[in-house]
Amino acid sequence: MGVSKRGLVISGLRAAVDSKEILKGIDLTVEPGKVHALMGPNGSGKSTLAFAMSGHPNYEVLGGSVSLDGTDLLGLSPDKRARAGLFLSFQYPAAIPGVSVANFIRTARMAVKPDDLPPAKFRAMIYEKLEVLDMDAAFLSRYVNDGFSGGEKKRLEMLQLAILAPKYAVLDETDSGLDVDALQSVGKSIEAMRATDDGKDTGFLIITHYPRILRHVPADVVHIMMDGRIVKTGGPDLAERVEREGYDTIREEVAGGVA
Amino acid sequence: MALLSVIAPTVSVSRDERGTHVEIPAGVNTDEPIVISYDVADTALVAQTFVTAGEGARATIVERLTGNADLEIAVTTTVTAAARADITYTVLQNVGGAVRIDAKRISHVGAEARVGWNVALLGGASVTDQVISDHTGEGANSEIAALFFPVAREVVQLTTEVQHNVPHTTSQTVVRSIAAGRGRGRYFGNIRIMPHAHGSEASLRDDTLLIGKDAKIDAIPALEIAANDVKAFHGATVGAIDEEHIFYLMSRGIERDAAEKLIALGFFEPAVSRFPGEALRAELRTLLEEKLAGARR
Repeated sequence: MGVSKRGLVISGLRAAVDSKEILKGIDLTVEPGKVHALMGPNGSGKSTLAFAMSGHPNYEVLGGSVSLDGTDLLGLSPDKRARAGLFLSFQYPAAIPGVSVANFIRTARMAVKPDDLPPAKFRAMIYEKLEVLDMDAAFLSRYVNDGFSGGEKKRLEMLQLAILAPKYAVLDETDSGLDVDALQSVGKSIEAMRATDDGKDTGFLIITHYPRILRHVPADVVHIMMDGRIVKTGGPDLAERVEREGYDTIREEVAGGVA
Repeated sequence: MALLSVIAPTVSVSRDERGTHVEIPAGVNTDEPIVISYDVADTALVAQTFVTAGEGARATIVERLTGNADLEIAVTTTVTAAARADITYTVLQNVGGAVRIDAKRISHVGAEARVGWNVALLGGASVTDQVISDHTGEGANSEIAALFFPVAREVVQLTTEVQHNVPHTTSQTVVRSIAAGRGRGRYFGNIRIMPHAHGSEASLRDDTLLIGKDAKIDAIPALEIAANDVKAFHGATVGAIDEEHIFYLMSRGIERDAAEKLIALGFFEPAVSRFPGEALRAELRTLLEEKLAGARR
């Protein structure tokens, strides 16, 4: 593997869904503790990148590599990628009827971080995170995502993020469909996690359409993705430009640059 | 005799050559479940239970079937609930792999009475179990929750039937089944609403999960509705574990086997949660978990 490099390092990643190439060579590195935003129009391949990195069986990797602090992820099953320190917040998380949130989160925590936290401490930790997210403790006895509203699903994703404290978190449109209050809770939860010892080194890749989540969790780097490629990388001002101008001027600029 | 009438009548449980008799006199409520245990190796090939509940009586009965022997056992249960009685009859069948069982259970439910059947069929080489609830009085209610789980080469056939014979009676039937390995199952879900049973409401929900390509369960619902002004609902699903569910759990670090186990146990939960008492539910979950662990290919 050569010299191990800290970071979530994606290089030359190409991936297909149903034999159609969606990712056409992605190079992107998320450093520990940094926040990267990935923006782009619908269909540009943002979610494909998230699923390909996580090991979803429907996403076929055609080439390139993804490594996490030096560990090659692409050869690993999804659970091993998670145990290596990768977390994906789903845009549409699955409902698992009959499995309580408490049981699920406890099982996940023990899988990712074995032999820590006695039950009482674990309970205290969950209650603390619930409070930051403005969630009721009754939430814990409900079945995972079963009958949840859109906002509740996203809060549960954020609760898992806070409890699992991964090395790198990919948030796939966590902000979409959230009202102002829910977005604020989500932002607060992420910032609270980043303020802990467990979460201060977590690197983020925030996939979003809108810069509004970035006002709660400021991005260090902003990438623009189009047609399966990253076409532009810049600072936080790039997100503001997207909001002002949309993607058209960037598209023209990129096309002009090529021509 | 005047003195005797002051003494509260109590539940009596007796055994004779015909079987086990449970009598709950009118008006008597018992909070403690009445447990009837049969070890198949000790039974004379039959296990018969008769429950008679007087008006307004309330009780929970738990029938446990355990043991292992190369035998075919006949099980019969008869529950007779007088007006306004409330009887919950729970079956926890966990016999060994050599036993064959042919069980027939029937309840007669009087006016405004309720009979709840909770049936868990966990063991046996070949098991046939039939649960029939016959509504004899207006306003009668039956609730049936059942689960079965054939693995290896086990064969299970379950029939539930609710007979709405009189007006304004209600029933809810919930059945959950999983087959794994070469397990085979068949479920017949019958609802009969007779011509004069107007104002009746019946629901039947059965869901099946198949683990592995050799497992098979057929579900055959039959709703026979001969009355007007009734409500009847039927819903059913059959399928394998959704790969998206597995992926979601695996993306949280949970191994594939453990993810399948969580999902399968969760699948039984709508039936398990209807069983009475936290201790019994916990016991049932443990038994299901053990069976699931043993069912791995």
